[in-house]
Amino acid sequence: MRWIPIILSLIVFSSCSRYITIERSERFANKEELKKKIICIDPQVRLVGFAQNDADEATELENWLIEELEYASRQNEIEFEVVRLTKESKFDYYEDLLRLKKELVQANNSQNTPLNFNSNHGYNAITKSVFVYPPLIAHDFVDLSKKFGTPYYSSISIIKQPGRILLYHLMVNTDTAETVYRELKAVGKSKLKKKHISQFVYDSLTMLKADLK
Amino acid sequence: MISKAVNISILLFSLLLICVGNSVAQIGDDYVPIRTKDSKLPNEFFNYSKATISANINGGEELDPLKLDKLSRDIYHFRKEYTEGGNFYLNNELTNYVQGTANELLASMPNEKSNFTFYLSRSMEINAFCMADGTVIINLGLIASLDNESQLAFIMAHELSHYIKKHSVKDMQRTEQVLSYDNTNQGSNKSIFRRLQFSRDSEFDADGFAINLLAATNFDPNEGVTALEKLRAQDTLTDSDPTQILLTKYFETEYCHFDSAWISEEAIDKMNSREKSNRTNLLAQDFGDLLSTHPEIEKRQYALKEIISNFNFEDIEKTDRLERKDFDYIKQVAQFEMVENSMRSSYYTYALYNAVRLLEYHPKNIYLNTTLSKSLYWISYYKEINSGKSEIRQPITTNDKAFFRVKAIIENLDVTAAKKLSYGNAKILSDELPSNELTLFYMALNTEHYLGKNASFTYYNKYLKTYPNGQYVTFVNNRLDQMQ
Repeated sequence: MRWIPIILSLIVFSSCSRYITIERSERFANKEELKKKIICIDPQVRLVGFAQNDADEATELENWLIEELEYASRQNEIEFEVVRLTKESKFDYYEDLLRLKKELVQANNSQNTPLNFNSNHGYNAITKSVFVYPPLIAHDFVDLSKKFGTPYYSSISIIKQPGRILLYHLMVNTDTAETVYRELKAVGKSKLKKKHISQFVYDSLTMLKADLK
Repeated sequence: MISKAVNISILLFSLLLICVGNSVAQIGDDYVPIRTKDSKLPNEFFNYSKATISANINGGEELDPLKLDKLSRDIYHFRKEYTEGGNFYLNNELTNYVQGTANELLASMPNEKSNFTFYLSRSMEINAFCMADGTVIINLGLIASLDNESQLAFIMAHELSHYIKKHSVKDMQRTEQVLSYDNTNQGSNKSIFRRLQFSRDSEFDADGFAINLLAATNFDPNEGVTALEKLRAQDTLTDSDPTQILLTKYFETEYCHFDSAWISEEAIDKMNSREKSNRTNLLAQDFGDLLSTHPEIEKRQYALKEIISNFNFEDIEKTDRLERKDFDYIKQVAQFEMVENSMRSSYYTYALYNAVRLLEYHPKNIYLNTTLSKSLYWISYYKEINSGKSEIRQPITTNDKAFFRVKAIIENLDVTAAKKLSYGNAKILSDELPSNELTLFYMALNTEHYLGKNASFTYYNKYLKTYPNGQYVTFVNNRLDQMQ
């Protein structure tokens, strides 16, 4: 009889597991000292759905994300420069920075992470794989540190999919071609709000500073 | 005398274009991928708004304002994503070729010319499409798969027809009418079936109108039938089996021997059945094109043949059947760019596959050989860091069976076999090309990956000595620091 409350609690908790926030943050072995600025390439918010106003909402949340990044970097005293496509952009924005961002995301997609999660895997699959090695990117970007004055480039994206929100922050050191920081969060929420973005950005930059400096 | 002067001026003008102008790829012993010179991006990337798009939609005034707003919004966000994604070419010989073909197509309709903007996408899918505001996107994969310019012209004429004949607007109107009559919800299956049916009708209509457009040019309309076949076959080179070449030429060397387990029929069947279940479902098979936006290719080909047979081309004055000789060259550039784009997208299996196919025609090409070596390295690298599992994604929707076989082989390789193959190929390549920076660099990487840090030490040091100002010096110095 005394086990009944425990069993009941387990049943209740297991039914709620869908709503528990699943977090995963990896700090790769080579801790580095951040001596230079970090260039954040094209931060994005994507809402995967069919609602007519999704694209406008995504643009609004994206602007919010950038404001929060600037605020959190000031608070944490990290030299963090956000680079986006503007009218003043030149073609090397695509050839260098955007290409690097794609490479960084693809390199991390090649591991079994929440980014390439699909219905064939359960959430359990995420925790099963432990990655000791940081994913390398192609070695074609080693000259970027001369060109832009820093080897650190990051990519921040927030993707709302049906039933969950994915938040990820990746950072690469182009001199070593290694991913030096990877933070992935899969949140079991169906609505993405500004407060989610603010929390994620602030926590992320705080952890980044504590972890690498 | 006058013709001589004209010839000289054309020659001088061509030379000027070559000197001043755009990025030109060189195919020979090596290949330099297209990279547009650093320049400001075109204003059209930024100077568009929903209002401008609405104004450019052919027949937009006939639409309900809410529907027009929705259509403009969709196009606006698509263009925004396309621009921000950077998945296109600008200002090079491929884009010039596409624009040249478009100019010839539109020569008989000068009023329509300003309505269209043409872009060449890096996408490897054999496809092209036109949006309701006249934005036409041609995929690289399409150019790489066609045989001649008339085929390209037919596909482009088909896309232009969608705009000229206001298909987007008309399909929306027709769907709306039927829905109001049926009193059916927009998201219902009935609504979806009707939209698909209208879409298929528009495809037939666009095919027919494309023949009319071609008839007014020097392109050969008969090539339209073959062009449609290309959309179905999705096969860019057909002379040899890349699986056999891969196994006999690159996976069977003095450093590694191929294992028949890699190509077990069971594994390939498993791969084929998985692809099949991903691509289709039972309903689609039972009902033909019922669930598709496009009619079956076979139906379109029959319809096209009927239209062409009723057309009296002899009545139309043609100066010359136009087959520009340089299409073969453009196609080759497109095929090399397919290899480059596969690497850029980290689709290493697809890069390997495309490189092996082209190596049959250019066996000594340094770019192809080094790409093959690079793709093998990354395949083995990700197999290792994923504890033997490799996440090999399919880059495009394709029916190409030869690619599935190569993909099955790569998936079957265990970590050690993949590393051995990569190392073996790098070793052979560095022996063949001893004075190539990239081969020496990848030799060092492969040695570290397969034989460990100590063995790679020599190669990293050799790299620093041979190429003190080389591209990878920073990386190599970092690597050596970490080893000590």
